[in-house]
Amino acid sequence: MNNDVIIQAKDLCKYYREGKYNEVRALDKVNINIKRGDLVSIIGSSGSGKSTLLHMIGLLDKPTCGKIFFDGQDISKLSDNEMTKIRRKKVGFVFQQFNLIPLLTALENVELPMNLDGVDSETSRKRAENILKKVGLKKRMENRPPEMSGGEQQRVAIARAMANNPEIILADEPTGNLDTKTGEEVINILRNIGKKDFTLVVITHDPDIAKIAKKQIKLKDGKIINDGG
Amino acid sequence: MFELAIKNITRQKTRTALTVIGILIGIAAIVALGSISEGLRVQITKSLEQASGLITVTEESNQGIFLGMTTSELSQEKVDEIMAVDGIKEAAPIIYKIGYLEEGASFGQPTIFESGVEPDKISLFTTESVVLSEGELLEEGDTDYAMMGWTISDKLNLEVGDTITIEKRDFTIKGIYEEFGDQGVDSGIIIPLDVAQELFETDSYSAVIIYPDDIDEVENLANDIENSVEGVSASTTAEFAKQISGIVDQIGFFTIGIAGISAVVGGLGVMNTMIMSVMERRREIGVLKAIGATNGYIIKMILIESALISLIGGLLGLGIGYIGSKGLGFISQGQAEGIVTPRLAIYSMLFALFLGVVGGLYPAKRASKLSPVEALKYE
Repeated sequence: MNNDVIIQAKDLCKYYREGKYNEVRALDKVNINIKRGDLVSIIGSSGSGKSTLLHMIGLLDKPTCGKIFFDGQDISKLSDNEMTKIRRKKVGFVFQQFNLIPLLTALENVELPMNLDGVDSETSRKRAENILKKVGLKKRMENRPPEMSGGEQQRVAIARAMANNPEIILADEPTGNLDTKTGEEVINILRNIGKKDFTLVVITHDPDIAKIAKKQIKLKDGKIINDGG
Repeated sequence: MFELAIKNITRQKTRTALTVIGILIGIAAIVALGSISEGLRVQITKSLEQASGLITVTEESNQGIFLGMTTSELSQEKVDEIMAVDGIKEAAPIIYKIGYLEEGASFGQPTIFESGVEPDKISLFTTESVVLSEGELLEEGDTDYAMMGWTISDKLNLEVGDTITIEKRDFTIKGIYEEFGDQGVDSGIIIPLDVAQELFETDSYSAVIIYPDDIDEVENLANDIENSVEGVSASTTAEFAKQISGIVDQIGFFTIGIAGISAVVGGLGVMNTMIMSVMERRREIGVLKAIGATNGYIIKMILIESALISLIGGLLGLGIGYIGSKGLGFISQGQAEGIVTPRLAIYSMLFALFLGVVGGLYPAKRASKLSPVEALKYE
């Protein structure tokens, strides 16, 4: 397998049972290749299977059939805890709803993935401070999410996604709850924050953002209608 | 993780407080009631230790020696037979009666332990370690005199030379005992044996107290008495101790059992609270898993939360139970003194912890099984 490819899906599918006889094909025999360092956008109407694909790439969900490789490793049949470990070290998530822990300060939220990974508290504190400075939240470190604006919360979420220096960042409509200007800022931060060669996959409705991407994957009814080449 | 758990339980302050109170009530009840039976045990052990080497002979009855003592009746012939057995160094026939301090009083009101003993056998009855704090011992012919324990003299505010009325007869107090630790002696009065027989209108005796020639032969002597005299039982203090501690154990088991049930109900409250808390935090738990928390981490976090709630309830319950135990002692005017032993304190805390952990297991398991994808969808 080519080392330049970070995500490869072969005939990937995800079926749900809805009621007794009705089967929903959220993903139906999807084949994709995502190269290391790429900025990829996934577009499609709601219910097209975008989020399901993102969850599969991010090891949050297991496929019903087909195979998916992450960084050269077949991840379609791993146990929950094996998936968790890869997620913790190699994947960063940014959600539309920000999904920060409301009881923790910005700094503590960013430290959390490092603490989960067993990084000592002194190192994690320093690193969290550095990342928060990079996303422009030097003065908001001790604030809790409910005290922050949407744009600020999303920047904390990006900092949290970066905490363990992941290979890939997965963003599910990161600008969906933000106004256009804040949305652009967030996308710029996302593009520029990662290490060299980090991969960014963004689900978006926004055609302007989709255009920046090197590669566009378009989904409809669980099938790829354009794999972006 | 610990900090996060503490923050989580302070999130719903009222709910957490109510859950804590649920545990608190149960543990406080265990501590307060348990302290009474511990207090009883300590008191009995203390008085029995000081009376070692003695044999108490009573009428054979199926009530056990403890209750049998107050209803036992030994005739003069029986007493003569008993005293004729070989190996007895000294023997004192005695009369026990439990009376009320106030005339016309009934159950639950202050009682007095009345004993009739021959004046020259008083040291045998009370054992020699009892010391007079005031006055003198009774002597032969002191028909209008009594001796009393410190508790009762203190309670009634009586001194040597004062008069006390028993069964409508006046007695002048001749001596007062210092604290001995035995309820019977500390809160009782002693009058001459013949006076007691006259006063209680009886020809018989309650018991004979026997001191053996050889202390090591005490068990054999007790057996000899039972074999040679019909219809009596001779108990040594060791047997006595066994019987009474059995009764105390039963009382303790029963009262702590009842209190334990309320603590278990408190534990169900913890489980309920944690289930609700997990449901409310589904999304958060999903996020924690998404960013790398293992199932084990989630389980630990929930268990720490429930154990903390339960331990806080337990510690507050220990404090309130301690106050309650002192309160019970005060209300009963020292008759039931509660002692919160380290054993009781440690066991009740362990029980609180156990309830917290067991109550948290199911919600923790449920939280750990949440699929992150499902949890993230939940609004």
